[in-house]
This record gives sequence, C-alpha cells and structure tokens, in this order.
Amino acid sequence: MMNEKTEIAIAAIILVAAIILIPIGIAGFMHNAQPYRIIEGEPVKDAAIAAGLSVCSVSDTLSDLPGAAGGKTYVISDNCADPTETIRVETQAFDSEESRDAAIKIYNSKTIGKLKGSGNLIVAGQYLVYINGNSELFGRISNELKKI
Amino acid sequence: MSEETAVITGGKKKYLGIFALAMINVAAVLSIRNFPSMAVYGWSCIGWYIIGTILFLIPISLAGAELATGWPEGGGVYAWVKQAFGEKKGFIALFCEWSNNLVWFPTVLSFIAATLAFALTPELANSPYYMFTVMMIAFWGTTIVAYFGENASAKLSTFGVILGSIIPAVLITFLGIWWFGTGQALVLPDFTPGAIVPDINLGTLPFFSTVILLFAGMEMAGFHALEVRNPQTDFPKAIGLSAVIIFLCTVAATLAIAFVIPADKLSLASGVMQAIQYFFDSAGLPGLVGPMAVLITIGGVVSLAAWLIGPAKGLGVVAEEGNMPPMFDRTNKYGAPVAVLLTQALIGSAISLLYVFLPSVNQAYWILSAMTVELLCIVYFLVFAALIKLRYSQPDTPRPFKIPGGMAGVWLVGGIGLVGIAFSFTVGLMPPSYYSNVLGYVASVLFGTFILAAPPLVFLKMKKPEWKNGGHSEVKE
Repeated sequence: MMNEKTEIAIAAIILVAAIILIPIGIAGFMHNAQPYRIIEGEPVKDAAIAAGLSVCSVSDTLSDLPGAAGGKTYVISDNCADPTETIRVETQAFDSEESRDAAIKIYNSKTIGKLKGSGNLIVAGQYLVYINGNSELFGRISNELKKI
Repeated sequence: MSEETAVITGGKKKYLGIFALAMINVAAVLSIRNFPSMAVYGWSCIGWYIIGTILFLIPISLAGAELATGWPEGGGVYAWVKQAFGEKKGFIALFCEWSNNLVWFPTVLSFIAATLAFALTPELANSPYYMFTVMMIAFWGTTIVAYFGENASAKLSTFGVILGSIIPAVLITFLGIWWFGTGQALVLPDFTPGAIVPDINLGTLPFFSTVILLFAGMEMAGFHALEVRNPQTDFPKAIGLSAVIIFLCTVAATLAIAFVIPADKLSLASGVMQAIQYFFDSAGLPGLVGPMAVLITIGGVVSLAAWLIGPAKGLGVVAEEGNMPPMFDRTNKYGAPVAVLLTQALIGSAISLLYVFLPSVNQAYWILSAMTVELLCIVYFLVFAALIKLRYSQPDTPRPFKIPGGMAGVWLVGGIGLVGIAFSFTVGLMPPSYYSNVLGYVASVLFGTFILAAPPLVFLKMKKPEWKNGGHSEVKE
C-alpha cells in the first residue's frame, strides 16, 4: 500500500516528467526529422529561381567541420540590379547523416548568452542551409526547398 | 535546510568572499562561445554590446545589487519577487529560471563534448555515443560537485572561470593587440564612429532580442546570499566587479577575433573551435589550439555549474518553506539540496538523450530555444517589477545599496529593464521566416512556455501544512 507521501512523490515525478515531455513533444511534432538523402544539383539555387528570385553571385565554401563536403555561398535578391532586399545564404553538404546531425548540434551550441544565435538553419537532404538573420526571401526559398 | 547546515562544513563556517561571489556571476555570463558569433558583426559588435549593456547589464546589475542587499535571503530571485508580489509569483519566477535551464543543458553539454573532441579528434563529435558519454560525465560530474556543497562549488567556479573563461579571453585579447601593434592587416574596414552603429531592421530584430539577454545570469550570485558574511556590503562590490570583468573581456576578445578572422571564416557553418583555430593559426601559434580547447571546455563546465547550482539552491529554499512536496526538501550534510539536484540531473539526462539520439528534437531545437527566451523574460520581468514595487511597499527596509536618484532612478532602471524584456518577449514570439504557420508557432511557443512555468501553481494547489518542516529530513551520511 502506498502512503500519502509516496503518492505525492509519484505525482511530483510525473508532473516534472510531463513538463519536459510536453514541450519536447511540441517541438518534435512541429518539425519532423529530415532524412538524409542525396539531392543532386544546387537545390538552393533551384529553389531561389523557382521562388522568382535571382542569384546575384555564388562562391564555393568548405567548412572545417568534420564530414563537411563543400558547399556554396549565394547572394540572392529579388532584383540584382536594383534590389529591395539581398540575402546571403550558405549551404554545406555533409558526407553522412551522423556528420550532418553533428553539425546541427554544433550550430545549436553556438548560442549567444543562453539564447539562440542570430541565424536560421534548415535541413535539406545532405545539406544544411544557413542564413544570418531573418528574411522573407529566405522564407520563399525555404518553401520551394520543401518541394525538392 | 537551515542556514547552519547549509554553510557549516567540518564545524567551521565558510563564507564566500567578494571575489568568489563575483566569479559565480562571471561563470554564468562570460562565455568564449559568444565571441565568434558576435565578431561576425565587425565594428558594429561594439554597438550591439552597448545596447545589451544599457538595456540589460546595467539595469540587472543595479537591480540585483539593491535587491540582494535589501533582502539577503536564500532563494535569490524567489526571495526578491516573493517580497514584492507574494509566494506564488516568487515561485513562478524561480521555476522559470530553473525550467529554462533544463532546455538549455543539452546545448551547453554538447558544446562541452564537441570542444573536448576538438582537443582529441574532431571526428569524435560525429559519434552520438561519444557525445552522450561526455555530456553525461560533465553533467553528473558537475552535479556531484554541487552535492559537496557551497565550498566545493565555489572553488570550481573560482578556479574554473579563471582557467576556462578569463585566461582564454585575455589571451585572445593580447593576441589581438599584438596583431594590431605589429602592423598586421586588420580584416575589418577602417574604423569610423558610424561603423559601430548596428543595422537594426526587421531581419535583425530577433538578434536585437538575443543581445538584450546576452548578459542573463547576473542575478546568479543572489542564490548564494546565505553563504555571504556581509551581504549588504559584499553583493554590490561583487556585482560591480563581475559586470566590469564580463564587459571588458567580452568586448575586447570579440574585437580581437574580428580583427584577425575574416567574416566569411566566421560563417554560420563553422564551430567556435574552428574560429579559434583560425585565430591561433593566423597568429603563428597553432600549438595553442589544443590547450585552448581544453580551457574552453573547462569554461563550458563552469558555466554549466553556475546555472545548475544556483536555481537548484533556490528550489531547495522553496521546498524548505513547504511549497513543494517534502521529497524536494532533502539536504545532505553539506547543505546541498540533493533531491532537487538528483531530479534535475535525471531530467537533464533524459532531455540530453532525446537531443542526441532523436534527430527531430535536434533539428527542432529552435522552438525550444524560443521557449527559453520567453521563460527568461518572465524571470527578469518579475525581478524588475519587484524592484519598483518594493520601493513603494517596503520603503523603510534598509537597503545598503540603493539605486541613486530616488524613485526617478528606480523607475528609470526598472523601466529600461522592463521595456527591454517586454521587447524581447514579443520578438521571441516571431517565427523564423521559413515557418508558414505563424499562429501555430506562436500558440506552440506560448503553450510550451506555460507548461514549463505552470508547475508552481500545481504545487501550491497541492500544498499541505505538513510539507513545511513536517516532511523535513536531513540525510545523514
């Protein structure tokens, strides 16, 4: 037979467990895992064009992170000649699911103080796609990337 | 948990000095992790730091000094907010500070593990088994230090923060000065006063919000009020000393990195240690990269320890007052709140396990981060509001440190803090641009925040008179 003290203890443990599982459940449900798969070509460039944007310049980049297989930095605008907004999008491919997911953890750990850094990250196949700051243009690219 | 049991070790009462107290704040706030992310902004990082200093560092330091000297009781923010708004809001403030840690622990633990991997073999960071093992060693190791009470924790903070945060920051700063002094090319454009002005627009608003809370943790020393011999005089000095150390080390080391490393090498696709490696390679000191990785790992551990111990001690006080079931009121012979520490370690381990092995949690971490922002905002909103309220409700309570300027001064300091925090709370609800369901995002963040903040309401509803002292137990070991 459980006494009242034990019941309270169990209730407290359940309560504490619930406050952890519910927020994590919300996060998990709202953002499904992206399976590792190889996407051919330049998905960000294709997505930008599909979103009606222009790629103003592109350069190769190679991150120093373990498993990084190279990527590109795109300068993308609604109009390269007379832009109302220009964004810089970085991509980096990874050679395995483990290295890609490790890179996500490294990105998450680059907090400022206790909080998230300034950038945003999305996952597309073998690529991590980064942008510094928030931008409506990146939202449009992201929507197209989901279709690839 | 009585005061005596909390501070007596081997029959001799040990107190925290001003320096040890200051180092608790420094450990909580100063982090090498911030520097590369801030250095990306070049000269304008100065402007961003000034914003964080004016809107948060100065207000929270002044508020913390006044509240800690006026009410030098155990519990830190709990004691302060309770004095102003009652037990319920005090408990909520403290619980928000504690629960946001639970979400943050995996971040700092994975940073510790990845940084240590860099000193050994960077590829280790790709192994979830390595990551989880090191994360758990760091987490439980820090919890064990906390188990041995204030004396052990203070030693860890003091030595650890010097080794792991201050020495690396000073070293980076001196190398930056050397770089500048020997006429090497700066990667930054020529300085102009206008260059320090940050670019504030819709795209940088979330960063603005982050910068306001950049110095979160300045209240951490307040949790250790019972271990200070003369809190009325020591707290203001410790808070002032920590604020100066944090500001100088942060600004100087960030600028040093910005002098040497081109912005594209500080890309979002690189880690902190990759930036540090580039820095030391450029300075012709590649041999220092490994030792720096070890030092920065230590810095991560003391930062973890500061946040792990302070709010846990606060919850111990709440339990002692009978606001939580008696199981949380267990202390050991060192005065450490063992039940809270154990609960915290178990929950933190579970979240870390999910974080490392469940990709959906890893990838969705930004939404948990958003909840962290909101929870911190609730804490600081209540602290600043308490500062103002107490000047009206308890005007005669002696405050050895008083914010100068009378009521106008308090309203100015508290008001700036409140506005900054309200702004951060609002901006924290803005979804990333690639998130299409805005209402769903806002509702989820608010709901998650509520769930993480609400348990005090449940505990207070369940509260029984016998929880106070009736269930009190001290584990004799």
